[in-house]
Amino acid sequence: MNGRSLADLPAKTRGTVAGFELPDDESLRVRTLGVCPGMQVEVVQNGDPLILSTAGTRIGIARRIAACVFVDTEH
Amino acid sequence: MTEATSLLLPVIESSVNEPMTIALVGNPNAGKTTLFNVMTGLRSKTANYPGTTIDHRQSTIVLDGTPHQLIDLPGAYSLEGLSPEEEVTRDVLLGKLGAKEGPDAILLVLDATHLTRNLVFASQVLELGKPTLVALNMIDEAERDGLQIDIEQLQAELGCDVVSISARYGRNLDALTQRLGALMRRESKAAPCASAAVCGGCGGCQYASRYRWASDLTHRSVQDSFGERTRVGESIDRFVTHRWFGLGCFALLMAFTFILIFWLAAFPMEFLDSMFALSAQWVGAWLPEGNLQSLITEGLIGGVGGMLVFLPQIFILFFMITLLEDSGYLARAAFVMDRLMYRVGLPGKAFVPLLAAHACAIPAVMTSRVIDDRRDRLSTILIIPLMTCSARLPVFAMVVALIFPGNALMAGLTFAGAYAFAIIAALLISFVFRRTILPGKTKALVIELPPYRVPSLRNALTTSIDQSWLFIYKAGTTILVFSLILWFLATFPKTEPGALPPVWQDRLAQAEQTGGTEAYQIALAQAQSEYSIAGRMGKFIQPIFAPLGFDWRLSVGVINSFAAREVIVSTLAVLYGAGDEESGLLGSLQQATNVHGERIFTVPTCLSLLIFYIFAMQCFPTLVVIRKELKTWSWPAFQFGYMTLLAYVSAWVTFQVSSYLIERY
Repeated sequence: MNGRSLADLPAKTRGTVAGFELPDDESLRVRTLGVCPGMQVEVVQNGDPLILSTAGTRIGIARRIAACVFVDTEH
Repeated sequence: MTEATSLLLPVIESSVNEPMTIALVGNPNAGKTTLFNVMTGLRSKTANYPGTTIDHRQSTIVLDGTPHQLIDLPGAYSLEGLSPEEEVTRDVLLGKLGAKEGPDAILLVLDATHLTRNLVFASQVLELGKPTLVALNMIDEAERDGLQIDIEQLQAELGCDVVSISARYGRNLDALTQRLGALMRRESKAAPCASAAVCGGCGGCQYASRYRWASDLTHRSVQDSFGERTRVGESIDRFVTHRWFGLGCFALLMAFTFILIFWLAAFPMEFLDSMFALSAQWVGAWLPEGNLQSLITEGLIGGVGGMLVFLPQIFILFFMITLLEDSGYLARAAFVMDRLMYRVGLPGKAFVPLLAAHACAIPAVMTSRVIDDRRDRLSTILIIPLMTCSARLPVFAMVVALIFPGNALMAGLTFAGAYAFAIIAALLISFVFRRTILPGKTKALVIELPPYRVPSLRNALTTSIDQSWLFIYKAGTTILVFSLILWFLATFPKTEPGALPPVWQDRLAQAEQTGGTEAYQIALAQAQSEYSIAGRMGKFIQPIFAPLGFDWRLSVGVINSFAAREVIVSTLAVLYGAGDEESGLLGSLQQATNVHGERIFTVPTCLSLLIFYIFAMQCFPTLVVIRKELKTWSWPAFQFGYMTLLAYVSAWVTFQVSSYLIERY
């Protein structure tokens, strides 16, 4: 999978979601909340759980899920 | 005759006509419940569809003189049904639950300040092709944030009417009901056409295209005059979700909630208690002495009073939970707790029911619905009754006063210890369950952190009144029936004074000589309860409880407290001859001896009783409510089994070890 794992990004980093390595039900849960391919996300606070900003709202997400979401970071 | 029949016809006709249904849907945090509350007031009824346990509220609203049924469906992010609540929303909209063809119309609530996310759910709802009206809520907040929303543009692209409102401040609600009326009369455009804009069936991720469509539409219809800015919420979040500060903040808020539940609620509770005592006295004075008087004053008023006395606590509990939820903090609390609770196999959201359980296990089971995953929810429900509920406090107070008479410090420490002990034991048990009978990973946290908002007191009030009614409705019948059964067991058969054995004859005579009629009555009640069904049962099962240091009277207390734990105190008062007054109870208990003249309430027995009541599932109403929630008797039966076993073994160990230690030193 391309890109870096969300869990590895420092705070205030933005990126575009490239893909997941998650079971279907877990991936569906994050996708319905706006963490889906092509969407821009920002890591607001890293930790466990970490805080993401996407589609104008913030979501809290367990680190073990974030570790399986891959993003292309902006340069 | 024919005239009469024809006159009746229109009446039959109108009763056949079911009112049209309007489903109220929206994202969580979109202000759906607030809108429902202001549209219906306190007239709503809580119901659930057959086969589901998720309650929804419904109410009749009148539009243009015609009654319509408004159904408040659980908040959802999609129609995927990813939680039991989202499943209900999806199934009702698709007509799998309730009416076959689904609701007649949809009132879709969107949060104007988070349009993109809300439009994603909207796109799925609009694709259903039902007559839909969009309520663009929190418009006041959007304006304050500098967002200008082009309603015309939204209407054109969504293909349905859009009314901007503020449910909280009652803004534009008249316009909303007016347009809803027009929609129901089919005067406005019926089927929305947004579906054309979204490619739902493409090979890729449908949510990617939905989000793209939603964010494009937001760009076209919303002008952000302030531009990008750091929101206040982010700085608050840095603090309240901090690794350590976050926990401190959580602890402070929970402590505050506890103080309200136990200190503030004490005033109305005392009032209710005295009201019930007064009404029992009043009825007792009116009715002739006998079984009917006893049934009404002790069985009926006692039973109802024993339940209603907890209402202030439950009300305050729901009031606080609603305030915390509406303020946006509850999601942060789940966020902070998730890291800790995950280790014992519980999701972060489980802290809400576990907090509620300190007031009463029944509302706790009701609030356990916030947990999406069935297995996570089950493991939470299994440990809920271990939390120190209010009904245990009178039992603890009695035991503590017996062990440390007059020592407030030690009494307080024992109390705090009992609380902490219960919590630690519950977490350990959850840990064990997740590795044995409920294997599998706890669902990982994915939670929206909604913006901080000043909560509405009115909304919290409406919700907590509603939930308090739900508590009475769910537990009331069981508690009442149980207290009537126990009254019967403790009253019959009524042995006449003349039929009592000679030992009692002597004691009765002695009591009358020294203490007059009052002492005679107390002694008679004591004798009669010994020969009642409950008393005989206590003597029969006493051998089982003997290793714990319980005599037959304590055994009766254990059986009786199955209706509600605190009942043991009043039962012991009668059995140890303290009369109805609980004030004399401690003295009677301290002097109580067994047939060999040995004291019964020794330190080991008291400790054993304390431990027994920490663990025992001594509450039938809770079991009934859990059965209602889980739709099976097997889990509540298992729960009763494991808790009773745990209580018995720990009390036995406590009794044996402390007896040994006291003998030795």
